[in-house]
Amino acid sequence: MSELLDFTVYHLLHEFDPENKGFMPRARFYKALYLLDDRLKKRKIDIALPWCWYKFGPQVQERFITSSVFRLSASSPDLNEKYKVYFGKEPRTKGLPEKETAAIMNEIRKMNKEHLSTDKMVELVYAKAPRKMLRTFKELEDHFKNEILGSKEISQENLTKIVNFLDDIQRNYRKDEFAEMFEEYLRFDEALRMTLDNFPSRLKDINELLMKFRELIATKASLLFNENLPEDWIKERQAGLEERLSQFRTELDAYERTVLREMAKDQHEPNKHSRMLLEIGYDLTKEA
Amino acid sequence: MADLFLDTSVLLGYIFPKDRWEKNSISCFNAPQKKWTSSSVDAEMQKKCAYVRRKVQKDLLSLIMDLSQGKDKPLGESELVRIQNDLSGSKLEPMVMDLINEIKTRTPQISEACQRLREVLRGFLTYVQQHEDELKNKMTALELECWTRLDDYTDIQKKLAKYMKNDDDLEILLDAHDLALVRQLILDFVTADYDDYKYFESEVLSIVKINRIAFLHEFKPERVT
Repeated sequence: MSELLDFTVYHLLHEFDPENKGFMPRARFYKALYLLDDRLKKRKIDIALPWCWYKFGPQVQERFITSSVFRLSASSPDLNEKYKVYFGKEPRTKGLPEKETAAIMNEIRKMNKEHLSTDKMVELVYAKAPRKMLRTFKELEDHFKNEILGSKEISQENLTKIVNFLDDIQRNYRKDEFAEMFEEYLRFDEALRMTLDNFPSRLKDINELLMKFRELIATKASLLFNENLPEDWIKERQAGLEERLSQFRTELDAYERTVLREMAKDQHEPNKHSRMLLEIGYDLTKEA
Repeated sequence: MADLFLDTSVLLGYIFPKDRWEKNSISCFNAPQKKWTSSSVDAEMQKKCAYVRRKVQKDLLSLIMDLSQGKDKPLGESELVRIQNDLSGSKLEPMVMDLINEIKTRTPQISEACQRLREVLRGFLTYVQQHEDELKNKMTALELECWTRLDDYTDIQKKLAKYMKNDDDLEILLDAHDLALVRQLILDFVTADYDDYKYFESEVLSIVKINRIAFLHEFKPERVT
């Protein structure tokens, strides 16, 4: 663990919330540290921040920070209550390079004076999203949350927006980096488009799959875009990803079958080209 | 009248209709005889159906994704070349090219061509799902009774292995043998895989308790043995 990191974490928390009143929600802490780290890197100062890209942008892995310099707790026993981060015991500064600690303090104070709202921080970190598709997936999920789930009737404009998000992701999907879930991506994208084309009123049913798929994508992103994390952590995440991908396949299968059964109710004979595809299908059974 | 044991190829002929197989598969299901299949057949059918669904989905959706990369514009020569390259050597090529040739004269937008491809895929998947469900329903209603074998028949298995290359085929033959033995049935084994049995038909029949191997392409449902 880096002593500069301990120093930075303690003083960031102390500066932003000097009376330890719980003004630093965990998500804000991650973003503030990430932005600070970014600024420090530009000054050639490396605090060895252990972080990875995840669902809501950078996620700091606190378990790799000295536990005495910060305290994490929920402000009520309610499990839904968001965690807050408090400063802990001040780490010793003896032996740390003065020039660097002064620069860190300077950047922390500068950032505090900017009074960045959490929304602004989200905007700033997402501008640095390592891949555009990660941002678009989040926007799609937000669109579902804000415009689809609570609506009794979904407007055409909101349906078109979903298609636009899907088209955008399709243009920016990185097959090379997200290869292990490429097939599931294609199938999920098509399942969502089938729902849009045939049963827009059932869009709410696919929201859970959307959230699970975004989690898969975000987990893969955390493996691709991270710094200062040990090999064991990577292996643990990779194993978790494989397990969740397999669960997702089962759920996607079930959803797909439900939609196809509904569509079969209105379908008559398959058209000429679907018929050709069925004949090809018979030949393909020999390959299986 | 012999009962019928339908192997995987017959069930697949019902799900993926092709030429005369479709008609003969349907006539099998409509035959007056009692019809059987087995849990090994069911498992193999599900495995093969899943493979075909995934393969067709992946190939077509990848093509659609590839075509949708740039801005939407009329389908031109460069897209036709791309389609041919993407599908080179793929079994899907004749179908896709037939569709593209049908619509290209009126130079549709790429997005329209993609939507047509999606509709073809959806038509295919819907049909497959519907027919998979129909088979399941037939099994549930015992219209097509599914037999589960409990005995390994190690000796018979060894003898059959000389002639049968495929382990799944071997297991299925043992299922039919077990059914005929346990239920004391005269059983015709119906298959579309002529090539797998034609050379060793008499040898296989001398090992297992099956009345005859009926090939789907010459299947006559009314035939009484």
